[in-house]
Amino acid sequence: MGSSVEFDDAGNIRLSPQDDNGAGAVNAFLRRDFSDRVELDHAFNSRVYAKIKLPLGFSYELGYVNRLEFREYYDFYSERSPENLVGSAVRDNRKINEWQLDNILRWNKSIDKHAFDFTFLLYAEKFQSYGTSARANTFEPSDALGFSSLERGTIQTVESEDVTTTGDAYMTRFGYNYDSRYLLNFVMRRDGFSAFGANNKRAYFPSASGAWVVSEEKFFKSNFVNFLKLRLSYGENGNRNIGEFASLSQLSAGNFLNTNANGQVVQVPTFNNTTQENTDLRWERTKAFNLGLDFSFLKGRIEGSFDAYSNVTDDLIVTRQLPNVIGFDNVIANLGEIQNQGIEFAVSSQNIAKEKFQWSTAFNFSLNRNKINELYGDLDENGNELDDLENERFIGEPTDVIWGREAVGIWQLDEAAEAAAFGVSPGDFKIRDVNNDGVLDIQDNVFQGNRLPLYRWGLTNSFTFFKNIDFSFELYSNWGQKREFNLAKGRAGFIDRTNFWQIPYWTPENPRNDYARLFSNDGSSTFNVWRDASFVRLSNVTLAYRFPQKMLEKVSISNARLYVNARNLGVWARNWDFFDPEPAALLGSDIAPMVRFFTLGLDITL
Amino acid sequence: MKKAVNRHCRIIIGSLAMLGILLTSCAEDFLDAEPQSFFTPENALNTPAGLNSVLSTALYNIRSEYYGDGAPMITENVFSEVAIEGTTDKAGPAQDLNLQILPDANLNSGNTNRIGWFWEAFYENIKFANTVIDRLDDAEFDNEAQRNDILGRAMFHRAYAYYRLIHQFGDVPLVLEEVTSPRLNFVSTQRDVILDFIQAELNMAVPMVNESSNGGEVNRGVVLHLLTKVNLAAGDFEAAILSASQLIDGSNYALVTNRFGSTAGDATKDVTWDLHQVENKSLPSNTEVILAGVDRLEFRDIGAANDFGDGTSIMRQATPLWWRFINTPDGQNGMSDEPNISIDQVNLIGRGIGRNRGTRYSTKDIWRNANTDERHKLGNWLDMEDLVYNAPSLEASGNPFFGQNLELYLPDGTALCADTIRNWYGFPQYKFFVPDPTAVKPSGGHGDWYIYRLAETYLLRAEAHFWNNNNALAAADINVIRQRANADPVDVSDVDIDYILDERARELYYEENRKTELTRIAYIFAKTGRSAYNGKSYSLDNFSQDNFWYDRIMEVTDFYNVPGLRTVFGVAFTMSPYHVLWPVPAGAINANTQGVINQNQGYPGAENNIPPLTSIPEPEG
Repeated sequence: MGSSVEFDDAGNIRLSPQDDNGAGAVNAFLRRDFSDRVELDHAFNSRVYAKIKLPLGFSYELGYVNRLEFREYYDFYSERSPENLVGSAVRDNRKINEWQLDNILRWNKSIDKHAFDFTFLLYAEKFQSYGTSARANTFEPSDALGFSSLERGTIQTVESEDVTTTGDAYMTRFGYNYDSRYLLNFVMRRDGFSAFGANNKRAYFPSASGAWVVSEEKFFKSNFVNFLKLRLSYGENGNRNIGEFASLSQLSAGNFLNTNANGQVVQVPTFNNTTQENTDLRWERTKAFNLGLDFSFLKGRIEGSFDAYSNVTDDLIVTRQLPNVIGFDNVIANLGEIQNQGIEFAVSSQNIAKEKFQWSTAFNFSLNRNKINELYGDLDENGNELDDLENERFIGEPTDVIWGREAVGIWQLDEAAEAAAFGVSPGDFKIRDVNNDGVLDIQDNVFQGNRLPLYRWGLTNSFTFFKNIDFSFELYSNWGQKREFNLAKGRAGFIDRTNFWQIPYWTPENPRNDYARLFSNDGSSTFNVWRDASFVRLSNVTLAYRFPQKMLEKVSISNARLYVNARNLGVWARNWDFFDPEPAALLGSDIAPMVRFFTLGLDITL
Repeated sequence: MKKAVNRHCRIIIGSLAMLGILLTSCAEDFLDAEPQSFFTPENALNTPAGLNSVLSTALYNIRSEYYGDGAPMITENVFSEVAIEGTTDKAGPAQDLNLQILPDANLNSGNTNRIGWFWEAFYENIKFANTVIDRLDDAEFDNEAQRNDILGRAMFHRAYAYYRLIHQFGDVPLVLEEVTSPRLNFVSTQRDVILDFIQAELNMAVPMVNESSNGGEVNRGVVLHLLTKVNLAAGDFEAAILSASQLIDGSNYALVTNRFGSTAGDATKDVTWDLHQVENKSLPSNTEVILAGVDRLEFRDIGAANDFGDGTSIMRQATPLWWRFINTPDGQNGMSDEPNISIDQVNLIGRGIGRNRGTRYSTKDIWRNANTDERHKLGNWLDMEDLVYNAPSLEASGNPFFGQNLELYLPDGTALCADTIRNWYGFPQYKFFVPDPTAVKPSGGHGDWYIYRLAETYLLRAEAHFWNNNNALAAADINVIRQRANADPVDVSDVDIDYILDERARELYYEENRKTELTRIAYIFAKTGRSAYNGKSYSLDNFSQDNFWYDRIMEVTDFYNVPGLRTVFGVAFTMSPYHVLWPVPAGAINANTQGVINQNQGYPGAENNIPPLTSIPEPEG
């Protein structure tokens, strides 16, 4: 066996084409060939509930949900791998026990055309996780037993991590409707979560809503519109999406080495207070206002709804950059206010409804605009609020706005002198110098669009042929967003030792304006390349055959359906030409193809 | 039967319901957060052991400067006359300083520089020191001496951090208390004010700190060494002589002059070699070490945050990239970094990448009259011509140059090395050699590293004598060092600041924080107005425009601002006088929205500066 990129003359697997691990490029098969691994996750979900009917219109429900999860991760990486000098192994065990308890009391009463209902909820939850991790390396006399014999390792370390969080809530809801024409609802909640600061663990969230079924009114006479309902609601809800101990200052413990008077090493402990405490940390609150219209035309042939909303969120939970002069980089705090406004529209129609052919369509559309109204309350000398440049949060701009130095093309051969003034050469990206001062810095940052779509829509068409054959396909689109595309810089790895994506690149003979030369020079300034990532995707295509009842009666099956389904059949992007325009996380990289699924199935109901 | 069952069921369900309500009755402490797996200041910092643990983290930061790939130490060397950034295959390393050293550039990466690391690490140490000082009285101590020792060491860490910061960044914010809530109104304090403050603190700390301690921990000698530097910086030359003498003439430390340690029996080596082998640095018989960073191979996986993954990595950073782009005189590839071949050079000198590239000044000029100086002896010091062509392909083809010493030029002047910036320069093997058993091709493994040793104290005292116009005593101190290294003594008439700087480069290369010390000397010139050996005198008024630091580097280094001199990637070397002070990282200034932290002259943003504080405000109630 001759030597190759992967194997040496003796047939042993090589560490890398250069036999070293420079630039982190190692043979991709090393881990597969020299590792043992067990990675298991067992989860048991259970729910127990009881419903009791009580006199006077009351009913009571008790529900208990439990999730028990065991995670096991055993990994062994042998010393025989060219990457290692010693073998190492780890055993990670984690048990998670999580329960939720609901007590719900309901009451219903109808008097003539008046109907009342009342709900009271009492809720508690607890999350507990216990984890142990044992690691060992440098096994004596050999590492043949792998992770099953950690005590054979001469260096052993053990770590444990236990986490507990608790939460509770109570809610009262009161509803009234008159003649099913006028409906009213009032809700009051109090939620609590252990992660918030000592004085702010609980918060109140009220809401109110009403609806008017216009089509039930006596004055409403229309043959075209057979159902029209107007909805209005206002509500407050909270967000508690922070780490379990975000309000506390954590001291992370470690070890350091000293030597004693005899020259022997002694270990001493270290403490590092890595986070600043915030005892004022509290619930993030959203005040949501929603106006909706449900309609149905032509005796149900066209149905749909239209919603418009305006939400204001304040006490946002943000990670606020601190001047690192304090010794901390940031702190989690409640600051600022953002607003979200948008519309959502959905309509479905029965286009053709004949005996042997039916065709219906469903269409939805949504649009959302968010804007930062307030930030931290720091004012400049004119009394205007300051933006947070470090985190790219600007008053009056959306949270997902892109702000940075703009790559406007590639320096071409005839611009070599101008490029040299910025320290780069033809083939490198040209950055816009907004104020023409010859220096690329924060004053040249511009707004370049949004990371989130400007609007989304979806369209599904369903057909039924000869009563038994169904065919449907779905299109959906995210439109107006931009994604980072730094692959265009050609710097994803050292050219002499790693593989590289097949992308176009600039050469003097092929002077492009969108991809730089291989291993291009960023120059003096950091910047990202942004590309429009709008797309339309053909997503869910299904062909199904429903077996006729006469056939099924004979074999005592009540329903049977045979289907073939394809997901992600195709995508069209206006400007994105590398893998998929929609980010798909794969192995930690978001530049990856989107998976295409084909499914063949049979549904049977007995 | 059914009715009885119904009644039973109802009773069971009813009692379950009661249970349900009881279980969820919201007890007041149901929502208390219990941190089970980490400490908080309230439960851990109220004992002497807890306070010591915080100070040990400060020591970890001090030690981190010298370790790892792209170690921060290299940036200190690069911003001085002893080294330049030798990475020639990409743009980003600190070479074209005019273009790359900006407040919002990447200031914390092995591929660029570590200016931002210094700012962050030293302010973290200030945070640790302030935390200990402010919480000192929450703890109970065995005796007064224990309390004073902890307080003294905290004061040392604060003084160490500010000493470095004012010589790297000039005027910086002075933070003297633990900050427990988001504070955004920092302002810069004048460098001299901070200097006077830390001088007073160190003077207080000297008697408080224990005289002796574990190796790797701060003791009285460490405090005295830093106090000597601070005294020099403050212009108190007599006090510097006194504090240095307390160390030198005391009974705890002595220069190592006899063979010792693991290599004592090797007749081909000498005391200079013994002194710098990593296993000898913390031995009890090493009387010269004042403070060393301890890092041992067997402790490399001690589980928590503070182990050093790869060790010193020093052979990789500082040895030239000798294994590529060097041809034999007949045009064949000459070198190989394969281990265990018939001429194995990689296990001898490591697989260097030339990041810390010694200049002609530090590799040739200061050794002009080396003669018997052990620090430049063949074997301790290696020039490229001391290496041999060892590529296995030469051996296989019977090439006559196999095993012969390297040559740089053919007789007609053609160079045999394609990249002499990265690949061709001499280096002190005795200092760089660190065994690396866990790597296939050694980079420099785990080992202790000197932070302070007595040789530097001698040179600091010599410098104090020079400033004090007593060159005879200065020469005497310099000659103690030279005599130990078996070098010719210096003549009193040759003693000047440039000779002292040369001797520091010979003795303390890759140990001293060269940029900090050179900036300190530049400040002394500017403050005293004394004229330097180059005939110029300097002033604090235009320090960033005209200073001794820049003139010295331009005088003895032949890289910066040389027209047409570029790396193979195409990057030029440029430097300006204002680089004597590093840019304050933009993140600190931008996040400080309610105050103004001053930027240094020459960098964008300096136009927003406000006058720095000239005194220390009373602590806020």
